Amino acid sequence: MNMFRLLTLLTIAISLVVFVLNFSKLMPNVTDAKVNFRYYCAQCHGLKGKGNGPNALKMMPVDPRDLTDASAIGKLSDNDILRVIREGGSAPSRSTFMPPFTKTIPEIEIMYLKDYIRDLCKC
Amino acid sequence: MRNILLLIIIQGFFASTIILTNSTALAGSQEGMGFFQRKCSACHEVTRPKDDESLLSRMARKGPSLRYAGSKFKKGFIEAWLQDPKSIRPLVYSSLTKANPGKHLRLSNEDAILVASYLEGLKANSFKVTGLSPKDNLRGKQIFSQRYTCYGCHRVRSNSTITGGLSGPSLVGAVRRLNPDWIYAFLNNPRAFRPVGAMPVYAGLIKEDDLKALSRYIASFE
Repeated sequence: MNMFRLLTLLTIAISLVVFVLNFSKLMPNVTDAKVNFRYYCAQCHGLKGKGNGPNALKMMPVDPRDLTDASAIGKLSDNDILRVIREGGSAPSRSTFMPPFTKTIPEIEIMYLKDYIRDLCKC
Repeated sequence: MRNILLLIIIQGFFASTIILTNSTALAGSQEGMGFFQRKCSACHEVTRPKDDESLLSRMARKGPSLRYAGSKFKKGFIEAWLQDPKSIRPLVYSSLTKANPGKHLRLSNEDAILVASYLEGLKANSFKVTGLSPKDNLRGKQIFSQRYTCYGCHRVRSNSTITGGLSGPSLVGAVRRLNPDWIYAFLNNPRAFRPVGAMPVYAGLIKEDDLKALSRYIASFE
């Protein structure tokens, strides 16, 4: 093996090691949908999505959606769900108790949240 | 000559009074810091978390950050509250299921003065004092009660009853607790105060004038 080949292989090996060591820094931190749901959504929708979070009180004029209700959530398209998460309940002329999360949760995580809601309702 | 001498004596008296007052306050603040580190720091942090703080790390906290307490709370509030702590949050911090038992440490007058002296010195870098005053106003009320229905998460007084959700800190008595300028600064740029928080970010969704009206409205809550 000549010197040139040896140096090339060494450079590639070092680059690989540096890449692997810094991989987590290069990739944006993506929060798991379950964690996002627990932190943001469960306040109203409950830990299991049944619409019974601590803010779901009798005194409130509107109940949070039961996200496990396949008959109701199943009627919504992916875009319907995404729009409500991004823009809040007022976007589809529903309750303003549902806040907009477009400035709070990164777009990629909103997509995962939508999938998580689909898992909750199995729909 | 006699007048000049008199003037020097008077100036010296005032200068020594100022130095003595400042050094007394500093000593009180340092003693308060020591007390805080021994008794309070297990639940309250006073340093800025990492910008990439995870939600899991945030949820593991036992109490709110007091890193900018001097900007957030009105002067005198901390000292009075520490002697008669009434729960601000209906639920245990970071919990969605446990009611706050209201068992916060109660301090003596002497200790409360020391700790308050320390905490009131903790200011937010991004905080600007603009002289915003509390004011019950229609625009703020419309945003709070209808456009974004903030009482979905925050307790408020409505006539003689207390209403509102349980997940956020109560806003009952905000007029005695929160600086209007801080409310505005927080709503305008919450990430300047904390990398992540359970309250959605409204900056960019509400116009600056409306944010000010909302801040003044919240700051007027009895």
